[in-house]
Amino acid sequence: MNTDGLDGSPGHDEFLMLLPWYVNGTLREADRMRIEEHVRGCIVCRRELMAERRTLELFRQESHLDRSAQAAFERMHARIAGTGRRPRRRLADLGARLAEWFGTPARIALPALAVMAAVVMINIAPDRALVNGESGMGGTGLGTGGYRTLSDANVTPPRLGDVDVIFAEGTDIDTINRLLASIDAEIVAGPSGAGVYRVRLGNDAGDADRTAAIARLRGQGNVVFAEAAQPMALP
Amino acid sequence: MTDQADNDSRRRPRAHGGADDWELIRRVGTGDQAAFERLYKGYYEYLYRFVFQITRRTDCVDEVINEVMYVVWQKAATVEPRARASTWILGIAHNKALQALYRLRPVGTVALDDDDCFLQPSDDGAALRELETEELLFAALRALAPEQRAVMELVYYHGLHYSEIAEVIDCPENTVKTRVFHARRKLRSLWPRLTGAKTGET
Repeated sequence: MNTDGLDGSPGHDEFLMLLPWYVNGTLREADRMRIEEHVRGCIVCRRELMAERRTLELFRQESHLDRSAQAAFERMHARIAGTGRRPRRRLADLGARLAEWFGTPARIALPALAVMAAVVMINIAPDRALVNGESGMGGTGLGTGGYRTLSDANVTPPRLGDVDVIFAEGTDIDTINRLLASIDAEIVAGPSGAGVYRVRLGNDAGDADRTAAIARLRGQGNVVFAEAAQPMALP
Repeated sequence: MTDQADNDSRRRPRAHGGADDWELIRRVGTGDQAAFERLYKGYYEYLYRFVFQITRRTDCVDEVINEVMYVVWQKAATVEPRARASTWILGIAHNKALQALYRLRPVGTVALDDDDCFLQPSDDGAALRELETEELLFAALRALAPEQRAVMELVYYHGLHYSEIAEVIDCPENTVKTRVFHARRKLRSLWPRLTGAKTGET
């Protein structure tokens, strides 16, 4: 009769419990050796071990389920292509890219780094030229051709309701416009060479409105960066 | 040959979850669609059986797999590679399969729990005897609750340690051991012929 439980070592039930992992070969060496020693003297567990081996064989038999990876993937691919979305970028990765670009130490906190990058981008002449002669308040959405650079002299300085935004690569124009419309914002400058857009909330927007707008933008899968264009007023 | 030596060679049906998979996932996170296709096709069969074992329906498996891989696509850039990649993906598949199962369950059916048995030996003994072995296994597995089928598949087909299974299904290790123990007992009562034991023995 098995008396393992009397001397503090694992009892009979525990051996029974562990048999599936003995037969699938994942038990640690010490547990495996304890089971082998126990099984040598326990006919119940020996019989159970035979049953477990048979169970493993049955499960590992090739199944005859009809399946087609190619057909399923084509539907997957259509779904990904249709959304126009890209995987979420990790902010740390974006920070690492920016840090590498500007030669700043990687340990600088991302928010500070991103603000620095946005400030630097404002002062760097980007590739794109002005398309029209609109004033700084006349920013239009993409698709109309009416965007201006962040370095343009006619762009007014950042206002309290301004937010700097970077959209995920591949985000289409209509999606950007819809998103900005949902927070009652419009593009007043950008995109810069780093892809930064300056968006401006409605005329009456205060700190709370901007905080809410930033939170909403950050919750979108196609927004990788959203920060106030200038420090908010302290409460 | 000891069980250890015998099973080392067939511990897992496919080589999944290693560093190569995390590298693929990292590339997926950059938007690499070729990497995503390779990852998808590499995991398709791996997931197919697992999802089917839980749902017991072939009409929704592809949809569930696509739900799983869509989550992988979305989170590839932000996931921390702590455990095996296959453990992470199986965990997503476990949740999505259970959600699909309960979403597809007809109105008015009895809620599933570990004590339910849908295949009564007294009613289906004759039918069971006529089935081939593999069919018998699949028929017998119908008697288990979805959560029990999931852990049995993870132990015997995927060859996971109970700590890995605990991570996949997000529960304590003792719950895994207990769930497997009860599932084994239930199966034994349904197909003693397969275990080589006489009817009524465990």
